[in-house]
Amino acid sequence: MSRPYIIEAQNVSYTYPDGTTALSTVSTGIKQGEKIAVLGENGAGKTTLFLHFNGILRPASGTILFNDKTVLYDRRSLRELRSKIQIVFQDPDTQLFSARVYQDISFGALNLGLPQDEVKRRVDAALLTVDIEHLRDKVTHSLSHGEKKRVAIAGALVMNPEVLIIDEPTACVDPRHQQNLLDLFDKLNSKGTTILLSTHDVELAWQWADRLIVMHKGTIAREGDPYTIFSNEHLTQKTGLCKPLALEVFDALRQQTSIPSDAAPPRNKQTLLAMLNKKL
Amino acid sequence: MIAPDTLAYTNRLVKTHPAEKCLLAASMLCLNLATPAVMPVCCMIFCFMCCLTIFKARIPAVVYAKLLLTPLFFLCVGAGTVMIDLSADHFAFISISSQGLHTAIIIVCRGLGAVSCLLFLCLTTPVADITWLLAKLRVPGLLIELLDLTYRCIFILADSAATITTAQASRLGYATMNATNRSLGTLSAACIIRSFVNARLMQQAFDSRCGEGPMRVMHTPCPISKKNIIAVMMASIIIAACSFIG
Repeated sequence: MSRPYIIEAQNVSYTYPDGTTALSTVSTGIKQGEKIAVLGENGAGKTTLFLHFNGILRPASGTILFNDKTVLYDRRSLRELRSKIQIVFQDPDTQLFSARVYQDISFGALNLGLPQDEVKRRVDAALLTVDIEHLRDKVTHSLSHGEKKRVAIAGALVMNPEVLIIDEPTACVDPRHQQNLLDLFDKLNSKGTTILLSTHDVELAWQWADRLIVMHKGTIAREGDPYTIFSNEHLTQKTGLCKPLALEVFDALRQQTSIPSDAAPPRNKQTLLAMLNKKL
Repeated sequence: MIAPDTLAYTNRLVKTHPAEKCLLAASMLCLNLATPAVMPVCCMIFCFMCCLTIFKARIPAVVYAKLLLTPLFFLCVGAGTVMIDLSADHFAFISISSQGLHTAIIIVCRGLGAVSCLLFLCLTTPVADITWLLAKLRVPGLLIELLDLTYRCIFILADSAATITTAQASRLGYATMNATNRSLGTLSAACIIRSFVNARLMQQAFDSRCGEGPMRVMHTPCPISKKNIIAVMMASIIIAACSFIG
C-alpha cells in the first residue's frame, strides 16, 4: 500500500516517571481507512503508544508525525491533532465528566468552538450512529458499563475524527454488545474513519482486523496481516498469543484433507462451518 | 432506599424550569427565617413544602420521612440543649424554664421549615440543572466546574469504596473489631490513592477531547412558565401577609 501515513511514530521511546520503560524505539504508523488491532500482553505499551498518537504523552526520544509533519506540542498544534485523532479510554468513568449524557457528548464539539446549531447537529448524529438515542436525557452514573462505553464513543465521534483509537473496547462487555460494537466500528470504517483498537481477544483480532500490530515489552514485535502473524509460531509463543480457533482447525484440516493450498483461511465461525460442510 | 439523587431525575417536577423551583425554595426559606410569627408561619411553610414535594412531585412519603429523620435528630438534640437550664440558684441543678421551652420550639419550627425548603429543591432539581442556573446567574465558571466534577466524582468514589468494602468483607475484613479498624484504614488509603489515579486519567481524557480552560457543555433549555412564577409570588405574598397578621 502506498497510501501515506496519517499518524506515524518514528523510534519513539518513553519512560514513565517511576522508571518503567513503556516504549523503546517504537516505529509504526496508521494509514487512511485501515482497521488495525493492537495485540500484546498487559504492560506491553499499547495504551502508552495510543497516548502518544494524540499528544497526551510526549516521546522522550523519537518523533511523532501527523500527516508527514512532526507534531509540535504547542496549544494550537495539539488542538489540531486531537480534533483529528480521538481516543476512547478503557474505563469510561474517567472519560465521562458531565452529569448528563447529552451534555457529556457535547463537550468535545463545544471545545472545537463550533456554533450551537452545529454542536446540536453533531450530538444528534453521534447519538444516532452509536444507537443510544434513548439515553440522551439519562444521568451518566446510572448507566451500565456497556452503555457508558457507547456514550464515551459518541463523545469522541462528535469531533468528527479521522482516526478513532479505542482502548480495549470489548473488555467487560457481554458477547452481544461486543458484536454490536464491532458492527459499529465496521460502519464507521466504511464511512472512512480509520479505526485502531487494542485487545486481548485473538478471535476478535482475527475476524475483524485488516492489519495487526503485536507489541511486546515496549517494542513492536511484528506487524502485518492477521494470517502471517498468527502463522508465525515463534512470534505467537514469544508474545503469549494463542492461535484463533478457526485458523487452528483450518491448519489441521489442511494437513489431513485435500483443501487446496491456495484456499483462503476462514476469518470467522460461519466460513469455517461452511468449509467443513463442504468437506464432509 | 432509593437514592435522593435518582429521585431528583425522576420526579414529576423535573421538567419544570429550575429557576422557578429555586425561586420558590429561596423565597420560602427567606420568609421562614425572617418571619416574626414563628410558630404558625413556619408550620405553614413546612406543610406547604411537604405537600408540594410529596403530592406534586410525587416523592414517596416514606422516603421523605426517612430523609427528614436525620435533620430532625440534630434539631431535637439542639432544642433539648437549649431547653435545659443549668443553675445553682434553684433546688434542682437541672430545670426547664418557660423561656428555654419557647426558644426550643422556635428552633424546631424554623429548622423544620428550612429543611422542607431544601428537601424540596434537592428532591425535584437535578444537580445539572442547578449548575446551569448558577452559570446563568454569573457564578464564576471555576466554582461551577468544581461543583460539577465533585458531584460526578462522588459517585465514582462511592462505587470504588463499595467495591473495596465488599472485597474486604469477603476476606473477613470486618469480622472483628481490630480487623474493622484495619480495613477502614486501608479503605481510606485506597480511596485517596484511587482519587489521584482517577484525577490523572480524567485530565488525560479532558485534554484528549480538546478541553482547555472552562468546561463547556450544552444544555437543553426548558421554557419558563409565567403561571408558575405568578403562583410562587402569590404563595409568598400570602405567607408574608400571614406573618404580619399572626
